[in-house]
Amino acid sequence: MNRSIRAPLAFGLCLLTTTLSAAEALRISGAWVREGPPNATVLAGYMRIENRTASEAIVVSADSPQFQRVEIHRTEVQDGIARMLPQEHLTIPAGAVLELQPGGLHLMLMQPAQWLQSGAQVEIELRLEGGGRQQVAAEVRPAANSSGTGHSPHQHH
Amino acid sequence: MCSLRSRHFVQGNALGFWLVALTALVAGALLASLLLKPPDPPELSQGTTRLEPPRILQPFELVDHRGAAFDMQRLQGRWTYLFFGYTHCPDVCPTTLSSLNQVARNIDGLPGDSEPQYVFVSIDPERDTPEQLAKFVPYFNPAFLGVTGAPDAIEAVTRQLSVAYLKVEQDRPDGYLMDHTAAVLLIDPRARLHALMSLPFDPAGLAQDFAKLQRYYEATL
Repeated sequence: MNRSIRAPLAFGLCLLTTTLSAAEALRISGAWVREGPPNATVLAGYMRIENRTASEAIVVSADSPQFQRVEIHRTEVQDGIARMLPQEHLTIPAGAVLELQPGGLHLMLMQPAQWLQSGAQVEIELRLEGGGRQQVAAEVRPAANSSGTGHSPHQHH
Repeated sequence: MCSLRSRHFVQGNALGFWLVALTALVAGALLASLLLKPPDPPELSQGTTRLEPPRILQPFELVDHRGAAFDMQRLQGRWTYLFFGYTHCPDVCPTTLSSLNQVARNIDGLPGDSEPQYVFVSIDPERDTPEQLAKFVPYFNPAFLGVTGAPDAIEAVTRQLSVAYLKVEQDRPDGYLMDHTAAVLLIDPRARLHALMSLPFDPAGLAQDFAKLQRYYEATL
């Protein structure tokens, strides 16, 4: 879309509802959830978040009707020890891209209502600072895709 | 006549004879040392470290996901990949288990018939029962084995392998996390800690490392 048209359009939509403004602010691609064993109590969700606006975007929480609870986490490996650090929020600077990927930032999806197999869709809602909300549809993919040598999660860029 | 002549020959060339003998001896010794010289240690991937000498382990008593005892005997006679983690782990543990699945596929493709075993040891025995592991670990590869045990038994085995773990309480019920060593360990057929591999894992590189370590191990037995 032409940028010169897009900016006033975005501004106009902003005036209508905050939900629309949020949807306009972030472009999310390649969202996926790693399939887990039938008794997995936690899964991880990954995606690429692009902030196309001229101001910082902050994701303060996430939610999914298919999970009891969703948290934002970051895996850190230091001195050979892996730890998961809960994050208060995700900050995407103006014009920047934030990657949620294996071994780094991810959504920790807890207590699935049922076993999610490859091909299923996970509906995730990101809540933004300022009250905006953004819906994300993440595809469940096989575990083998996560290690980097198989098919990498598809990305549009 | 004949014997006299040969005696004379021997006496006259005694020095020469000993010189030849000595030269042959030295040459032989040199050749032998060349032939018997141990091969150079293998060149391994960046994240792979071989222990020299391998670390001897003390007996331990764990249980596998089928309910059978998992002790020192289970490590004898074949190579074993050991990985430590917990089933309530969304990112690192599933990523490593699927990497190990790819390592297994790569090793299957190598010449030779020695098949290592792959063992996931829980550092969260409170939640990871054999039944829980039975539904979790084989999902990544039907041949993978899940192992758990009494908390002090887990501690006894991890301590000698320098594997660290720590329970981190969260502000929600049943929601603690575990910090844990993310390395994969390789145990040799004499049940000794032989090598360790750190993140990030390259399955093809790890399979190559395995082939080299195994070749070197057999050449230096």
